[in-house]
Amino acid sequence: MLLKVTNLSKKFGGLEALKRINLYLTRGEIVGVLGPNGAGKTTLFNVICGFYPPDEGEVVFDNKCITGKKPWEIAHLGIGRTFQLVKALGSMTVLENVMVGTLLRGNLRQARNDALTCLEIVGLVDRAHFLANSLNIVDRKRLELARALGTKPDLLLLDECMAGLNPSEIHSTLGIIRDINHRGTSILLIEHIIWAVANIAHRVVILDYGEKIADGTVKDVFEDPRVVAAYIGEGTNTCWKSRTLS
Amino acid sequence: MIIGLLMIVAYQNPFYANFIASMLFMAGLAEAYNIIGGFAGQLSLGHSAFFGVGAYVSVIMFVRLGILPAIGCIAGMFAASLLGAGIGYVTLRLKGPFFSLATIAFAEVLRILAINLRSVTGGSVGIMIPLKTGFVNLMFKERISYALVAGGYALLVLFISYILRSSRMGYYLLAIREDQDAAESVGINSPAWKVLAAIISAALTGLGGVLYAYWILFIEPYSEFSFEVSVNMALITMIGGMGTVYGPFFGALMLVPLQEILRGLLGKYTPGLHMLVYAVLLIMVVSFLPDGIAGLARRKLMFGKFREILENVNTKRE
Repeated sequence: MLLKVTNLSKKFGGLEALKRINLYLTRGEIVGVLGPNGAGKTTLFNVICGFYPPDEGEVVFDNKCITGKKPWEIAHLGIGRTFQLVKALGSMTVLENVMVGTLLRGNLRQARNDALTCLEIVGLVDRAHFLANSLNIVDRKRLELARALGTKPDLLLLDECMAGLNPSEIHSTLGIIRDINHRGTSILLIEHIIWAVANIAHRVVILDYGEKIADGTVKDVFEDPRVVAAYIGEGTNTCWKSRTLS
Repeated sequence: MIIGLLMIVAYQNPFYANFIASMLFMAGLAEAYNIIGGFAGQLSLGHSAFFGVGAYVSVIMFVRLGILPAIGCIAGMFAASLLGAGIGYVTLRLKGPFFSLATIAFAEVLRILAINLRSVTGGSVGIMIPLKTGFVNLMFKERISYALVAGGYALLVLFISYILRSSRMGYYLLAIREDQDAAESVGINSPAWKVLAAIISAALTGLGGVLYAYWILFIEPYSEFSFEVSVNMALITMIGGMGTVYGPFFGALMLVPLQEILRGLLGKYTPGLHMLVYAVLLIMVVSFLPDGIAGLARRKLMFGKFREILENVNTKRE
């Protein structure tokens, strides 16, 4: 088991953003995290990556307890992440952005070559010398992915890396994610686009108001009336399923 | 190359030599400031603290204890870097303007200390440095030698900046400046790198303070720990180009003469008129060239044929 989260809780004042969450991810898996806005998905990522300390519970990664460690220590151990609001390093070039990631695992020369490889994977190599703030949103999302990939993570956390993209762009991003997964990186991804998740994830976890309400294959999970109520709304007939899952 | 040219001019007469020395000292100081202010993006408004500490430590060791300035110079750098580490360790873990505020406060506190610790620092009167020429004393008979010292200092700091920028640390500091969360998510220990940048910047500023003191041969609290010196360092860096390797250097080469020329031209009319014109010019530069002189230069290059060639060379793998 690569990642195991046990009884994880996080409160912001009176708001319980996460309530005793348990989840796991085995090596090589792609797991989707779904849930309405405000369900605690991004908070879950921030706690796993060390940006927020949890109030209770434990995160174990690769048999090491990483609860309460700093973000950079966690990156060293092999967890990479992207941000929902992309954080391109605007005044640096695309190549330099990715090198900031690849420098974690090598000297400048290796970092440069690794960065070009990452840019090839996400299809940005022809823009390597553009300034990051000259890219459009699609390319910025890819750049974000390339930089995280540059740290050679065993586990990659993707926070809505397909939001705002059109269907053909989503298809190409799905291809990229699958490619990354085939190269041996496990993936935990937050996404609202159900068909995209259904297309790629081996398993999904559904959060609602900070609680995990379901965990299983996409097909099983959406049979669960609680999930349908939380995510799609009660009283919806089942025709959405044939549409979204086909 | 430019420094070489300046040296030739400096040989012409002692007035030029003095002027060029002050310009090159400012260039070196701005470059040193740029390491923490530009690369790491942590705006300090109290760099005179490091400048003054370097000068005071070295001069006190020389005048009171008779230790050679060449050794005192290293002690001064060390003291400045300790101070940099102290301020940095406490404030650079926080986000926002705490570092700027703390640096101002530290410079003020040090000035008050220097005024009140009369037995050690000579109080408000300051310390006169007895002229004993010689290389190990960092004091020379000819004015031109000081221009050479200043040139050497500016070159050293420029060289260190260049090495820093093209190293791992350069990439990391820029990443931290652009987005600290993103930097940390790829494994960059941002507090540690920022403190290291503060230490290097403080040490080099301290070195500048030492060399400057043996040029002026006199130190006193108001000029050593003055807010004006701090602001000047920050200003020259901003006008030249924050976070670029050569920007602060050219910033000093333009602003220091500009100040002098304005003083010469307008000083005779109304006191303060030259400062007013200087301020208006600075405001115009900041509004029309937000990335400074270096930004302008880069933009011109970027749109030329030069850029294509550059890219073709760069994309090839090593």
